[in-house]
Amino acid sequence: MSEVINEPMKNPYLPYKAEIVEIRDEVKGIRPIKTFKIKLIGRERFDYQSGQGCLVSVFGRGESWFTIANSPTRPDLEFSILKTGKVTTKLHEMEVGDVVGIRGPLGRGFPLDEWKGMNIVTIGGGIGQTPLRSIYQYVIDNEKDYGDLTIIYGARTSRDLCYKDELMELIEQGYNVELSIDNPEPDWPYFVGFVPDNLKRIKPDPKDTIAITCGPPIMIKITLGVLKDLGFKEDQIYTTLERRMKCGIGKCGKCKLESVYVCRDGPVFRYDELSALLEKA
Amino acid sequence: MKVYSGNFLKDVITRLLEEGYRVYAPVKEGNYHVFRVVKSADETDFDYINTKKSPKEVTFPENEILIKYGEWVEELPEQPDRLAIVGIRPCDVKGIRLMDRVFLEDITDPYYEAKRKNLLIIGYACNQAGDYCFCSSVGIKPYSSEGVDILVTNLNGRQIVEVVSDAGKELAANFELTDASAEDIEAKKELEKKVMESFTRKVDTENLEERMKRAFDSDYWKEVATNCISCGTCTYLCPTCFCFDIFDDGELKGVRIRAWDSCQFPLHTLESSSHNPRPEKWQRLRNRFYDKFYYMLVRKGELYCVGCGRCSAACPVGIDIAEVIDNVPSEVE
Amino acid sequence: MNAETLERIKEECRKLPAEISYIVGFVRKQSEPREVVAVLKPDEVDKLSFSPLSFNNPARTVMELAKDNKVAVIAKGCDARALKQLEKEEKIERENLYIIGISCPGVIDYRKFRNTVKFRLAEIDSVELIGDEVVVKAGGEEQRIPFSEVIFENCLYCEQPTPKDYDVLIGEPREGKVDFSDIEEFEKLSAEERWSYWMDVFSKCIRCHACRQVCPMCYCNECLVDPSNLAVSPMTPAEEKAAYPRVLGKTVNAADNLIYHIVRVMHHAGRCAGCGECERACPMELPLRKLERKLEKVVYEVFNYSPDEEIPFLSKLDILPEG
Repeated sequence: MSEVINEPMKNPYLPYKAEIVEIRDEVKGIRPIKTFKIKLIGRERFDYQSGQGCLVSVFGRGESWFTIANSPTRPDLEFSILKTGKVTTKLHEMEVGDVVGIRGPLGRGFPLDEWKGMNIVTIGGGIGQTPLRSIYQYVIDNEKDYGDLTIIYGARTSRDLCYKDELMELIEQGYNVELSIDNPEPDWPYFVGFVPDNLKRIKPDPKDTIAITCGPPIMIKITLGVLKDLGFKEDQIYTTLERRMKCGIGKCGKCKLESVYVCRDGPVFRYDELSALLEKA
Repeated sequence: MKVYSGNFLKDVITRLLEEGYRVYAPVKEGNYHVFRVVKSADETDFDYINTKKSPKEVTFPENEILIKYGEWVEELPEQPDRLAIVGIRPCDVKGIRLMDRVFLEDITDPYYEAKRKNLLIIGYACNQAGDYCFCSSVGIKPYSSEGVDILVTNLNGRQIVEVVSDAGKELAANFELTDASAEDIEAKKELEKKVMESFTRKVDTENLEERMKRAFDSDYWKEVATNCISCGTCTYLCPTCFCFDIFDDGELKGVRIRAWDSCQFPLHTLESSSHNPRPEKWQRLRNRFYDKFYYMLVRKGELYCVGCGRCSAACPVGIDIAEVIDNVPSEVE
Repeated sequence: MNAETLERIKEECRKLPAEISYIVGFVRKQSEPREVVAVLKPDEVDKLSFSPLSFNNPARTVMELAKDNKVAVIAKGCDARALKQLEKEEKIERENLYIIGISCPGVIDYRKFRNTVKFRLAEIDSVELIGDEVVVKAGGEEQRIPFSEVIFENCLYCEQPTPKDYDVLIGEPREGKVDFSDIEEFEKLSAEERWSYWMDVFSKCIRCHACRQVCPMCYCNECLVDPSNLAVSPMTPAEEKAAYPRVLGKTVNAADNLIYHIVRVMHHAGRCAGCGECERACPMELPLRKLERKLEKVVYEVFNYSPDEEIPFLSKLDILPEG
């Protein structure tokens, strides 16, 4: 496993000052998702690995963990945030120019160095696409280091798809992007059905391939089954876990799963690591 | 090994207070003892088996301000008070050392470190095991001087003083200590033997890792948790439980506080999606036993239980950690 | 509360109606003479135990179990009172209960017991109340302690030592009494003295919430003072979760602890069964019964209400007095 890249923070509980420089609506409605582009104030953006996250502070409300949604080869920090509670409701009310706190980079990211030369297949559902975006942006920016890239992504409806414009652009540029929605809609040219079914149809070759899957727990469970049927071994499959996080540095115990801290030893995990645990993720 | 003819514990408190230390010592309150900051040795009372609350509050207080926020964020200046804890039992000293491994290893917790690096530890050996004590079953000797600066033992009306560290040596130089005689050394050995025989509780820790691994999915844990009320008393009194919560107090201006939390509380792991990885109380109770006797053993190589028995003594419904671990089934049906 | 009482309990449990699926009674702990609540099957009667150390209140366990099962419960006076309250509040169906009532002379205060008994706890074979003496047997030895030295103080003011509602009663019925003399004594202190007393008490509280968790009346899923179990579902809107009122956070100091305790106790007006589990559960040994009994006194004197009445206290407040 690659090591955690962590810029030493003298006080790991002290956030950096950061400013919201752009807000983009990804999904509208009663469960909206917005992507925030955040710039650190007074310091350079730290280096990090795809898959690592930050604890974003909204003072007075608290902190929430978000996986960094953009690859470290792209500028600033982007977070795709679903409105779901105290902190995120306040974030959704914020505007460009507002100040938040950032603690990061936290956790263990994807071992992209180890994956050099391999084919990459990302399988995402709903807002689970966020950490996967960080992977495929990196792979696209370092194309010669990797094999084939396949992006499989689906959501319940076309209005629930995140990063739609970006993905459409990638399709136009000739990248292998396979989109899906659960139920038929007029003018939908792509697959209709659940993400694991789309995966079954695409049948990626497990030889020299790494598969990364993120999304709702039920989707991941079924996807795992499909990948195994296709011949993928557990040490070829990666995922990210979610837990309630507070300290972000492997001390407070909220995110503890068996003997691992999701915020410190994760949130990226390889499947064989999870299978070895007594407590199931 | 040295001998002091007076009450070393009280006299050392007087000396430390003169030197400007903030001294935590056992004080009798009602029916029990707790560690409090004392202004004079007269407030203290050392006639106890162990304190009600563990002394983890000295380095890990129940509430601690991390940062202040308003215009922006203010880090609080470190309070480099020199701290001393006098009269702490060997099990609790081990508890501090286990907490050190959590807060100082990997990423250093600066709040814990600031208190810990200035902490002088004057230990107090046990002459008798309590009714709930089982430290000897988890690899701790009740007369151990590991991790202390000075260890004091009551012996036949005098106090045996073992100086362990350099800081301890510096402090002990202020006292008239005579070398222990051959009889004293013999008597201490006898006392140590007597203490080891005074345990009425033993926990079978043989092959524990294997047993725990195999028993994870057993219904045994549901039975054990029948009466559990998820109150969190066990975790709050435990010297090695360190789960905490962080929350903001104040809408526009205020403080970010870290406070003790408990894996027994249902909200501990509740995610904002409303998914809860441990929704049932037996899962939470099982988690506590596993964390101490398996997960931390795997992660750090040490048992995170010091056998102080506080949780068993205080549990309102009588769940007893020593009994529970001793009875872990070796074969899962 | 001696070997005879236990025999009678076992006798009754052997002739339970066929539809009873569980017995909620007491069993002795392994390494000490204390008894804990146990859920047993009707064929496990021999595992039952009973002694003056069977002080826990089984009402909470019964409330869970009696949702879908018919349950026999061994209930002392205060336990039966708690069950009655839960029935009034529609948390238990009476038809699902088979109450084996015990006429209770009082239970032992385990803290006092541990200080007085000369044996190591693990050595004790039996603890019985014979007459007005507690007889402790260990190995071949015996120690007799006057019951008055180790009785749980709360029991001195017991209003209902004998269950009023039962299917079977063991022991001679005893009279309860309404006696607030200890509270009246306390009320004689000045306001400053009483304030200083309580602030000193609350400065010791560590907000472990054991008092709330152990109380049969504190069954709310969303507790006002600290949500022990936030009732959220995947359908709960974000705004609702964001605006959830937090009366108290996790700040632990005398003032916040005071709010926690007073608000909690207020919700027990007219409902408290007087079992004393709160005071027993408190690891810092706070005098919680004093607060509850003060409230009981107010409810009794000002509203002329006793928790044994058929209607809940709040319902009675809705009834306007005649004339």
